[in-house]
Amino acid sequence: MARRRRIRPASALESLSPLLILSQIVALQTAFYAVATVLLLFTAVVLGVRFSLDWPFSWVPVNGENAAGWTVAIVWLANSMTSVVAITLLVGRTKLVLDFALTIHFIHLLITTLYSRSLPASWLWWAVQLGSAVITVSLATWLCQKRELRPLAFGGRARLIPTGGDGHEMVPLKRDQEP
Amino acid sequence: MYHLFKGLYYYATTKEGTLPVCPAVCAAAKYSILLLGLDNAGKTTLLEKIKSIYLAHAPAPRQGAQPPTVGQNMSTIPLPAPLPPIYLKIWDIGGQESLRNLWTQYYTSSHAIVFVVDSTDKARIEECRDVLEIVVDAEDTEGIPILMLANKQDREESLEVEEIKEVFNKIAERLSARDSRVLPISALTGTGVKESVEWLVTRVMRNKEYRPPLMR
Ligand SMILES: Nc1nc2c(ncn2[C@@H]2O[C@H](COP(=O)(O)OP(=O)(O)O)[C@@H](O)[C@H]2O)c(=O)[nH]1
Ligand SMILES: [Mg+2]
Repeated sequence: MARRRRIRPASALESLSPLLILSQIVALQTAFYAVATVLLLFTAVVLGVRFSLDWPFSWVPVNGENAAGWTVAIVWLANSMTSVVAITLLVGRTKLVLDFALTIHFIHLLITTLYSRSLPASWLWWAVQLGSAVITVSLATWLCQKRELRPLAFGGRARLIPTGGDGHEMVPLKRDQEP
Repeated sequence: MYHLFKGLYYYATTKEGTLPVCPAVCAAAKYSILLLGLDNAGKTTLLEKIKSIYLAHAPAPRQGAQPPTVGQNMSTIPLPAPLPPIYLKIWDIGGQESLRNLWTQYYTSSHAIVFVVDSTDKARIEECRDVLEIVVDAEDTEGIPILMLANKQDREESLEVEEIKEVFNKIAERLSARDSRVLPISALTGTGVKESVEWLVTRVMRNKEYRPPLMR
């Protein structure tokens, strides 16, 4: 089937490279689970309970009925800082923060549903996701904005090197592509 | 994930480019650059500076030497090696309010827009933003690189680049994906001028599928 093909601005294509976006998503999700696991492991040790993979991957531990559930909920909220830092460092673009932040939580919903074999039925779990998403979006947006407005050295060459943080430049300039 | 799917869709529906390989053809490629900005921003001085850097025998501009531009100035600049062998046709159009509706006629044939800002003129920064907004929102400027120059950085009282960026980012945020950049320059001393030209060269050449150069 012949599909209609269009010519698009180079900038649109470069900033939407699926491979780049996919690898960023993978990296963010990995950071999200890695730090969460460490934090939960630490919490389990402090609480003196046995740690299992249920802690990071199941929604069941996040319940509002006992103190342990609330502790786990707070750990998950603290873990939103992981996403804040990771998004600021790996993505860095204010306009993309909302998308990436929601994606992390959406993938977490998928994984936890598959792992627990049921949609999360704990209200606290949903509340934690909402809180975590709000924290991630607002803090990461704020940090990325600060980064984008970073001062530039006047006249130096440094700013022609891609940094990913220069918000006004939607596509980092790659000098090596000059002939 | 939205951007992932958008990117996949773009890749699936974008025409594969056929790059011109013949160096003879490439050598004659001409890209038009439009210098825009309020009057007194330094557009004419910048054009004179670019000429003095890239053309032999062109005199360097002096302070206060440029009368307000009536009509337009145009210079064709052949780029010296190691830059690619292309020509930049730089258009300097008057920035007075009465001349601004002439700008639109140039959009379709230009490959990049340079928006020059007088960083010392804090009083007109709002006006500047409004005018840039009009340029950016124009249908015919879609998909072409925009370079914003914070000019007169040699003057003590010039705004910080961050302050200019703050103004510019508000506009840039609304754009989907666009080549844009803010650079601090001094058209008088020449600081940052080469970097600006190099940025433009890279961007217009990368965008040549979407907006092909004039061949002659
Ligand atoms: N100090 C300083 N003055 C500049 C600079 N660029 C332009 N000017 C001065 O600003 C005034 C207006 O410049 P002009 O090029 O005519 O602006 P145009 O209306 O945008 O073409 C002139 O007096 C220039 O000498 C600069 O980088 N530094
Ligand atoms: Mg002028």
